[in-house]
Amino acid sequence: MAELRVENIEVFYNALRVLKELSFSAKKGSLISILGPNGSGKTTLLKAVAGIIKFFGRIRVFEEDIRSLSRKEISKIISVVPQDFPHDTEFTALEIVLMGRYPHTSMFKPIRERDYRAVFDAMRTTDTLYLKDRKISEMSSGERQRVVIAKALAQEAEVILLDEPTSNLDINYGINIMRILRNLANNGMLVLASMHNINLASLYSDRIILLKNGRIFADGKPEDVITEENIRAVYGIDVIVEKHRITKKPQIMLIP
Amino acid sequence: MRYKIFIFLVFLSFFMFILEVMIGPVKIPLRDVVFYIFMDNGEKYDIIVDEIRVPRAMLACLVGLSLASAGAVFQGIFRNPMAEPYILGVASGAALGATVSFLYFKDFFILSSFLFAIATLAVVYAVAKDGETNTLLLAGISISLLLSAVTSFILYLNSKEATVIIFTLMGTLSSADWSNAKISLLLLPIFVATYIFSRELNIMTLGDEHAKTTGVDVDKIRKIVLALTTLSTSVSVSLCGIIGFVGLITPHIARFIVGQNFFYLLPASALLGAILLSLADIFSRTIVEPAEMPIGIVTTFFGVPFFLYLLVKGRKYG
Repeated sequence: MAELRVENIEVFYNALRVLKELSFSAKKGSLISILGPNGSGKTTLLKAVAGIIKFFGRIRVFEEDIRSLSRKEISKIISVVPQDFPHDTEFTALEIVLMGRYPHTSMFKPIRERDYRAVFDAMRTTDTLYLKDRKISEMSSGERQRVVIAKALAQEAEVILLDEPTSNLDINYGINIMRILRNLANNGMLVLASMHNINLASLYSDRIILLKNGRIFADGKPEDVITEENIRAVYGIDVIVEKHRITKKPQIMLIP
Repeated sequence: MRYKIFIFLVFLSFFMFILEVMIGPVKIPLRDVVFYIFMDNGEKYDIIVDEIRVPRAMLACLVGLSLASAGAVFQGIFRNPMAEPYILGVASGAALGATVSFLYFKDFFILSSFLFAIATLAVVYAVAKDGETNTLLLAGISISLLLSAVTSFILYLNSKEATVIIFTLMGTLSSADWSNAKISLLLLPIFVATYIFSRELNIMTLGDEHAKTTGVDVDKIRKIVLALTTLSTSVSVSLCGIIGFVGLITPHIARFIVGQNFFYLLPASALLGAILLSLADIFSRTIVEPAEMPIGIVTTFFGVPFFLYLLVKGRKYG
């Protein structure tokens, strides 16, 4: 049984068709990367799955139609790490991660010990406990990104969507984030991330969905998807694809 | 740490309240004010204190409170340090409503202000359909100008009553009496109702995408909170005209002191608003004694330099 089913979805921005008859399904416990050049529909796909834009077709999570769920209900099963985060915000890491408990609390159900436990678990997983009282505006971009992931984890959803979580990060931070995501998948979550770094995606993902012009061009294991032909067809450039010496995963090399 | 600030602010607003009662063309000794407040039997100044000063002090505090907290809410919702009810045309709408009702049906002051204000907000919202902040602000500013022009036109046609209306619209608390003060009490429950949404407001400062995916029903919350602030703005405008700048700068000062968490920011803005407007009112009554300067002039006159100072000193807050 697949926990996430995307069935024939289409998304329009005004008259422009951004996603076209796109279908796939995904199981818990896997890390799936969505690759494709700018404008291929990566972000749009994530937004559709998160239920924050209009789409045609159907998306089901745990057999429930996402359109039949309220915002609060969705955010208990799907958490999202968007691409942008206001980096001048004065909130501390703890305050931000606590916001992730919003769907589990209410005006009459204030924050309890149980919520703090979820918050500290999330901060431990992302190694952000030491940032607890630091303001977002005083963090490095890598630290900030981990705090935002911690906020998403505090929602205790089983599906997490990340929009280019490693872009704008130095390579050490990028690796750091991918290790965290790998751990989440190993612990049973469904991790769906749009990526622009093909090599990082290939190293850590169980599966890669390659988008071209709003359609799925290839979908499968990294070694089946990351090929010289596919990269040429989708990105329009010639590259050399070689096997990683240790992991045997495909890695691309650019040709000047 | 924060609670000390709040104790200080509460104390200060109480102090301003007493000062408001004491100072004026007739100086009233502190003893009599205390007597009046705690024993309700001040003797010789009874009428001045009871009929003029106390309702006026109440009006200053409550209107200041609501303008400042509305400003904080707008800045959070639109994620823009420039946002306040005035910029979205809400105040101009309310002012037009007040003018129309003053000329044609005097009994429906607040209702008319509110209807015009909410209609303005609806139009601004409809124009900026995508809800993008810059579009919204531009639409608000231009519609605000249009409404001011309409108000001026109506005043031009009714030049006989114009002076009174213009003086009111410039912002003044001189209309204060018990019936006004009682209406201004409405502002308190509106503030409390807004405060209930602190959690949502906090999350919404991270942007729509974050807020929605964290479970906040952004569209619904925004509508409710905007309706509440529009209501409080209309009440303020219909009671004492357009008092500029309090709604814009007070939240910035409050943020400077307690940070941007709405749980603290809203009450801090409210208290500071009450303090600042009382202070401005004292100025407006004493500077050109025994005449009175419109308070809107005072707030803008002192507000702008202070705001510029903040801009230069702590750039990230601007």
